[in-house]
Amino acid sequence: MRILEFKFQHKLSYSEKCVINKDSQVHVFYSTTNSTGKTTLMRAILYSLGFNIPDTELVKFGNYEFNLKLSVKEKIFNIYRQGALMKVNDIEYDLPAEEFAVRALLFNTSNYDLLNNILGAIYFDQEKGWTLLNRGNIIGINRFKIENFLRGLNDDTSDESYKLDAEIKALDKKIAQYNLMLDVAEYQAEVNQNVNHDLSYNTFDEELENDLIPIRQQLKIVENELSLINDVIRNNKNFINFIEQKKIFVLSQDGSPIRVTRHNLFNYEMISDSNEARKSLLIAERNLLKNRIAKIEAMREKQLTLDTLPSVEAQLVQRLASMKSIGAIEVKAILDGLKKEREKLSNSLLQMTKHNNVWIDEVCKTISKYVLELNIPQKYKIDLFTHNLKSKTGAILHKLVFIYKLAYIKALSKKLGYPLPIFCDSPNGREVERSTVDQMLTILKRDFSEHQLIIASIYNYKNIFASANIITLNGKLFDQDNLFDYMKKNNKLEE
Amino acid sequence: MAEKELINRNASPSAYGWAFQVGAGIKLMLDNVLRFTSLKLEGKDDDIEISLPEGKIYAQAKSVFQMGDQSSAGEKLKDALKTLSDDVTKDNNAFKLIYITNILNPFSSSKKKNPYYQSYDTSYDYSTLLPKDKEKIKKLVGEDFPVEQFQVHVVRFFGEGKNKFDGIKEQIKTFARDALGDTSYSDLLLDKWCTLFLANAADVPTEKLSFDLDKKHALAPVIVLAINNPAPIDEFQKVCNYDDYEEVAENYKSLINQRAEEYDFSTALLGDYTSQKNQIPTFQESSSFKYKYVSEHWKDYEGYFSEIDNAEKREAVVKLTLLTIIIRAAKLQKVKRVTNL
Repeated sequence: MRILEFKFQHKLSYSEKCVINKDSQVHVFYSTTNSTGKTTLMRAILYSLGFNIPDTELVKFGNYEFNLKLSVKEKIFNIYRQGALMKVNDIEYDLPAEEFAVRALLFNTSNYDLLNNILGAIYFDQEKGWTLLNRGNIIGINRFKIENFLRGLNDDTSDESYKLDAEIKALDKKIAQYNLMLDVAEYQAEVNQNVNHDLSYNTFDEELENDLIPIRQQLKIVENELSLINDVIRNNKNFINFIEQKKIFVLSQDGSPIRVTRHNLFNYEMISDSNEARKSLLIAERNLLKNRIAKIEAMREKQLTLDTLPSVEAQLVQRLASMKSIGAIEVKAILDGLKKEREKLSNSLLQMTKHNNVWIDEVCKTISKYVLELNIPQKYKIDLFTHNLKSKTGAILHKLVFIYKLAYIKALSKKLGYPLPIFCDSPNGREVERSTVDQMLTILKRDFSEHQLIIASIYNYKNIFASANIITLNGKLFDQDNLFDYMKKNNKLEE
Repeated sequence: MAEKELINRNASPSAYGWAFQVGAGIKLMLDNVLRFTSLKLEGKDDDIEISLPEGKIYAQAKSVFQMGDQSSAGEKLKDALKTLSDDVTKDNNAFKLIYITNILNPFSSSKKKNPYYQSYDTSYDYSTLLPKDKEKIKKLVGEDFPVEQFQVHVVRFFGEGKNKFDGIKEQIKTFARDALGDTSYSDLLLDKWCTLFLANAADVPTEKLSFDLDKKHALAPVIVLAINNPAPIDEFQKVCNYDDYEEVAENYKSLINQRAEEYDFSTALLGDYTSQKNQIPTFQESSSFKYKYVSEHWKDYEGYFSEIDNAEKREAVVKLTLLTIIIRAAKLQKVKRVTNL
């Protein structure tokens, strides 16, 4: 399989950019500085091959039209991809629904396990690729799993292994659930301990309520007094009205009659003035008290709206606390059971994977060969199915990953019947010495000369690949050019 | 409680300004207590208006937080004079134009002390001002500003809460002694004025507190204090041997008040009492006549208190009620005399 041509165009751009325009054994995407688009370019090629590759921070693949010319076993595929639309030799495919159909066509196999694990075999991602030995995430949702890969190589499509695989997946889901439940159980225990229920969420509101009590009491007293004085004032008025209506006359000193009114009644003005004075002060007091109550109530209301969120939260916590408790020990026991079950199934699957699988030998042989060549210390036991990466140091792991992947590629290419391309992003990462990288690349040159090699690096590796097609990036590759650029480039701009 | 409101409101300068305005309003009202007919405070433009039969007193009340703060003196004087000029343009019958402040030297923003303006609680007529300050005023007002009606009052008004009113309280004390016969009423009087003024101003937005009260309303606190309590224990003991004054005074306060407020009851008593008293020839006898009257006539009024079963207690309540009404009437007479109400 070889990439013969690769070009793309931003959908708002005026011109197409051609990155690969000739067949070459080795393409090096090269720039001395970082962040110029090397990784993006490599991913864009994989994207064009129909893989589900996430956008990079600055480049959204959906904004570009990609064209890629691919040869596989003498067959030529003209591939076009724009977002979810993919055309292979003018036949349209809708991604991601038809992802596997496309992949099956391009890679010339219908083996699900192989199609699912191809990317992990051929692609060294700069971030995770160099630590991904035999299982894990490659990029985005793409995963690699050695057991599945080996079963794919062995064409093991038996119901039994499929069933086992499905069961393990179901168990994994359950284990994840119970792990969450264990968290809840532990949190619940903590809540029950802290609370019993001395967590107070409405202290401020209660404070306001407490402020209100004496004011309300005082208001009651004032209102009571006010109603008493009002009664008295009304009675006095009725009394005076009665007397005035009766038209009573008294004798004056000179013998003439004087009509009795409220104005000449003894003591009346004094009483009414003092009653009115009391009334107006009581009203003043009442109004101020009401004002204060209104103010506090307004504050409470404000507080209540502010409190809504915390109180909802509090309610949830309370509900959790009052829920029938989930025993952490119980959950742990179940979890342990599930894990044991999973281990058992995994072992069965592993046995099944190993059973009659010539490919394991094949892969192991390749690994042993390069382990020796790359001076991996003897104490590192070669276990294809290992789960333990932590004990391997950075530089050793880097080399091991390289070796394992070479073995995968070799086996896979043999299985598929054609040499697969190798995508190698930043082989010089981590604590790896330049000489080791050179050693690794020399192996590629020597033993994988039939495979197309695509490297992204801050070195151009001319010392190893003298005839490599070096594509130098300046950081503007994915920029959308404007009309001005376009015309200038085509000498259409009048000076 | 109103005092508490005032204290709480002191957080903002405008609240401090309002408190000062209330204090200044009380001071100017008491200065003119015999003749004034209404008191108006307008928080928006620091206005105090006191109506007199001969015309209105317009006052501008401007205050500072800190004692010794002279920095805004010039600006405040300018603002005050501008408003007073407007007042006098609108009302050419203005009786007096007053600038009232707590800035020691109201005429200079300079920190330097002027020996002429050394003390608080002082007022200056225009004619007594320093020539340069007269000039300053003339520059700030129009030709037609009646400078002869202009006065400056400097009052002490600083500190926290009630303490602010200390300068004015001296004046309230003097008034309380004259009107109520007891200087200890001054705190209560100030409280009640604050309650009254704030409650009457509180309906409008707080930034624009204002009220307009006629004399009767403005002096309601004085009347209420005159009739606040039952006759005191030493007076009571002159007419009654009942040994628990507190019990009677507290538990029957409301009943005593009610009888005092009822026109028919209180008039029946005061009419009888006054007409008998008027027949007494000597002053000495007349001043102690109330005890004699109560002791001799309390049975005439016992029927109004039939709800009290215990005869001894009933007697005590009747006697305290009669004595209270008689004493209150005398107090109210005094208030009316002192305030010309």
